[in-house]
Amino acid sequence: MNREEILEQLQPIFAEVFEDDTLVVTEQTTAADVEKWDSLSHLTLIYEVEMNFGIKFQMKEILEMQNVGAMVDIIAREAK
Amino acid sequence: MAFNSLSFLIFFPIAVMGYYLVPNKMKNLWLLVLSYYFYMCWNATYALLIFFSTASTYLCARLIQKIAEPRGKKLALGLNIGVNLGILFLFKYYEMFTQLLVDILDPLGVVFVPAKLSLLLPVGISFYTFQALGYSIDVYRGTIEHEKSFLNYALFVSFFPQLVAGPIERSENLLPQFRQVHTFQYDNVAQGLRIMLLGFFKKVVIADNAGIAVDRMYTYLDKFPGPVLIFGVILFAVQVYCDFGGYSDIAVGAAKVMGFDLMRNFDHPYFAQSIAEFWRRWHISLGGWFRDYLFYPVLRSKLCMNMMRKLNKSGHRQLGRILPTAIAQMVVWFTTGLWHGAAWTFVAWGSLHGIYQIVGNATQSYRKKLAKKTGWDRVPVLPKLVRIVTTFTLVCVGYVFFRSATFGQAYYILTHWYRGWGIFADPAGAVGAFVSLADSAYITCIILISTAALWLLELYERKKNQRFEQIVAELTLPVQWCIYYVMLFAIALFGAFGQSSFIYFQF
Repeated sequence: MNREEILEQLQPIFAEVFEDDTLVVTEQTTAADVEKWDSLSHLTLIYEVEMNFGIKFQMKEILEMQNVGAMVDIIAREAK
Repeated sequence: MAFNSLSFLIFFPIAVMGYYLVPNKMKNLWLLVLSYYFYMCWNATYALLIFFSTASTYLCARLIQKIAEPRGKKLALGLNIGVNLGILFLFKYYEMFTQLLVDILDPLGVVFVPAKLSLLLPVGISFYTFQALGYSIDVYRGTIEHEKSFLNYALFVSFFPQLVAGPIERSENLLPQFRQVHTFQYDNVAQGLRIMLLGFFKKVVIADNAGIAVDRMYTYLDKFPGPVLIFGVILFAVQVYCDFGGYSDIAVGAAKVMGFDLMRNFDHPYFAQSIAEFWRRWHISLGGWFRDYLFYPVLRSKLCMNMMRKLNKSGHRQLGRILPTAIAQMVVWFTTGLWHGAAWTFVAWGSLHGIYQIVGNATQSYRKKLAKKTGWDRVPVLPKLVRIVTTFTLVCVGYVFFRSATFGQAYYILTHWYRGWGIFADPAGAVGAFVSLADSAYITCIILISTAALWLLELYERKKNQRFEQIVAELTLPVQWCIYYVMLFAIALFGAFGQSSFIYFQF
């Protein structure tokens, strides 16, 4: 799976978790850009992404993720 | 040694001058000696506790990093958490929980007589214990490397500006700063002193005067009519913010004078439009600590993850999101309450904030839809104002429990605030009733004018998106000095001096 494919798969997950069908994320998107992205919804997002890609994030990764690109990095590395 | 004491006024300049004068290699040792002295002014023996906590977390973190095997790492971390929380429990919660056991066992006919320890609560134990625990968890997670220098680490735990009441610093922010050499820079000293000045103003002029009124209200609770009780609770909101916010300002400023950047602990909390936002603005370092070291682990625990999975599979997706989160939130808020003090009133306060947020979270989408449907979200200014006032009111209800020594007091206020509104029939009498809370018109005026000044300053800070010290730094020198003189005179003339300690020291 390349980065574009991962990002494409992430779009509906973001739209659902943050309840915004018009939301389009890029690798540069950060929590500050999305209104509902707070510490609570961050973990819901992590959970949904994990289920979708069949991976498990480390706590260090969850805490240090600076933007969507960082999430894509980990998925690209972990997802088979 | 409290920041608002004469000793600190002598101690601090010596500390700063010494820091810049001693050779680079000695700077951290100088700070460590001073920090222990600073703490020992309260209780010399309890400095041993800090040293023990420092040594144990240092050794455990070293062990955690050295052990390659995950189970061994976990064991070392568990041991460290156990030891540190054990000490905290013994000194802070022993009596509360043994009393609970007595109360539970007594009706069952079991006589349980716990050993009396009568330990004095070590000042700031909850702050430095949490900071040290955060460090060891960071090493366990691999977010930071174990600090090799024991001196630097000991200073990280005991750094005097933030030792007794935070901000609870993160290892990745503060530890690297002890590895740098801080040389004298005029800007740092000027900025630091400005931050400290505002802190002293908040503490001595506002908090300590408001405290006079609040103390009187709680001493003669049944003497005041409902509207005055409400006024008193609002004054407590002002007092606790200016007390703790003032302390944090002095801590941040004192560190800045020596070239250290501590995190800001408060960001205009009473302008928050929801309880969740309030906690992103109030005691930020504690909220962040609980989020990273308790909320996330609980929500990522097997119990919560399995619950989420099961509910999702059975088609209850919404519930699958809300329920595990609500459980993790209640764990966090119960603990937050307990962290503040060994009393059930604190637990009630924390749990109330938990309930606020769970309800807020669960109803958020409905509220948004309703606002859209009714057109409420298109009304200018008013919705924002309503949200700010509602949030502040909810926070104040929480404060009733926070400040009350017993549930009886809290119950009295919650059942009497709506009585006695007849006082407004006689306007002069009503004014008299309000003034009687602080015992004199003079103190009432000081409280009201200084609070209004702070409120205006905060409005301006938000408008400019700058802090007080940045705003002042941009003014011309004569204007700057006018502000300094006005504030210094206000502190000297209107400040309440006495044996007042900071509220948050007891935690």
